[in-house]
Amino acid sequence: MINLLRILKFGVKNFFRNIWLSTAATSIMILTIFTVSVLVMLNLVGAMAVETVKEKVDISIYLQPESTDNQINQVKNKLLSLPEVKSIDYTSKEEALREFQQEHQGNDLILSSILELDENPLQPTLVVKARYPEDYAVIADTINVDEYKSIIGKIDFDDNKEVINRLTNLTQTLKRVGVGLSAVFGLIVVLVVYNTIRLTIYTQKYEIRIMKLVGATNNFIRWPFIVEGVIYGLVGSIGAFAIMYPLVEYFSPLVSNFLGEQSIDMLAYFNEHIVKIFLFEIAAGILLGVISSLLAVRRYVHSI
Amino acid sequence: MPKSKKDKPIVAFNKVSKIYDKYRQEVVALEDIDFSVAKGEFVSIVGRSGTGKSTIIKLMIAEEKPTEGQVGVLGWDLNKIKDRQVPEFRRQLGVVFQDYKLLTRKTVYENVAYAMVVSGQSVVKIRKTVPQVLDLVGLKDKGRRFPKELSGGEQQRTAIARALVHKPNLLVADEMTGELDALYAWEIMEILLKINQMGTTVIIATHDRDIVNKINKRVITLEEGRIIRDQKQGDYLL
Repeated sequence: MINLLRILKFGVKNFFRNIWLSTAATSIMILTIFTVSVLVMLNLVGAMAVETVKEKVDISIYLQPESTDNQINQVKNKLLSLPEVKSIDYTSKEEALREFQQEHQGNDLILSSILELDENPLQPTLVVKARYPEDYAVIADTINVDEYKSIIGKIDFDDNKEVINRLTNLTQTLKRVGVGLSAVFGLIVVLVVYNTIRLTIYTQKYEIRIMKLVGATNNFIRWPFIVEGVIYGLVGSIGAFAIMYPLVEYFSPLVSNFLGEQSIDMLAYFNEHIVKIFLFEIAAGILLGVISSLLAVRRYVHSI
Repeated sequence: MPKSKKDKPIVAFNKVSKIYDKYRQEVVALEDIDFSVAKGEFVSIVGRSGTGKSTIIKLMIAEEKPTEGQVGVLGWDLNKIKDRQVPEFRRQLGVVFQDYKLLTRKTVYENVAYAMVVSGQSVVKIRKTVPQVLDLVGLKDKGRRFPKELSGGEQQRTAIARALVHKPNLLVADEMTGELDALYAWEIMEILLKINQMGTTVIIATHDRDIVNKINKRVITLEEGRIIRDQKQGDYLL
């Protein structure tokens, strides 16, 4: 316990001994963790946008007005037998009329026109949702055959596939760029912290030599430098978090406006996962700090 | 009749050679060194510069390993000692150097306490031991001074106090009076003699002829890396 407290004290002293170097190392750490966090957030926004668009895609199958229940069930059963189909929502002619009337409430001209007709001109509809965006084409092809031509009037395949593909590609590119950038920044931070600790070791060469001569254990000599690395990580991650929060708060409404219908509340997500995000940043910072200091200590303390 | 554990030497060099490899050239620092030091002895290792005195000290404190032969100190086989065991070994002996090796930003008290701090001793023990050793070396009233406020002799006494905090059975000193004038050098020797009288074995490497002749203790003389003389109560004859 005494040793642990002394190691912590020595580590804190190391951090403050070369305050400008420590500031530089901490700044790079903040920049790295901040960049990684932003990239993670962007990926998240991208993924959420894709999901939102996916949710909105469907196939509307307009059946002939004179289709019998038997025929409708025939199409329905065929669709249900497909593994690609997630759900089917059936709207009868009557329901379609009610919806139409509700939609055009207040527009007397349209409402009176439809009432003047002898019979309900609207078609019963099957709204089909697929499990994956690429399944819509398969579903459309399956029912767009001669067997059902007499039952099906029109297949309206609102092709959002292109949008989804673009968003998916964007998200994947973002992920790849994110991983690459994170790796580059990670490497930079490891190099900077490694060199900072190496310099600390060199400036304390004389003291380390004395420690060795008077019988300090290897762990007692090494651990303060590892503690120093942990402090860089800790301060860096707290700093990154402190910058991140107001930025998310500022950009969240802008992102929501930009995505329009596919409204994504980044701030709500951030607040909901605030502990996880904070812990992730702390863990990333400490990991980078420990890796750098371990490398420096293994390489230089032994040779003194 | 086999020797009892009590008679076992504190230091034993058995046919020790040390060859350094400098710029791919072999430099023989020590050759066929054979001597032992019993508990309670005071030994001066003398010789001109470059004769291997410091190499013997380095081998004795496990800073170097012999190229050939066996080195045993305080019951440790230094040929086989592992890196992680060295700190424990070093806490059993005290080492003093010519350049004092004091931390300039720490007071005398802190410098002496430092050896105990880094080896995990409790604050209570530190507070009890440090004043005792400072008293022993005559620095009881100078605990709050910084090294630069002290004379060379006082700085060396601080270094001796630091070497004594672990209550070692063996004190090793390398040219410890090298930077001191005659008066301060003799003050230091008097402290070492006092420590020796209290039961600590003392080994010094020196080329200070006057001091060695004055104390009239065992003298091992080196020349070109070999022992040329080992006198029980001798003089520096070179």
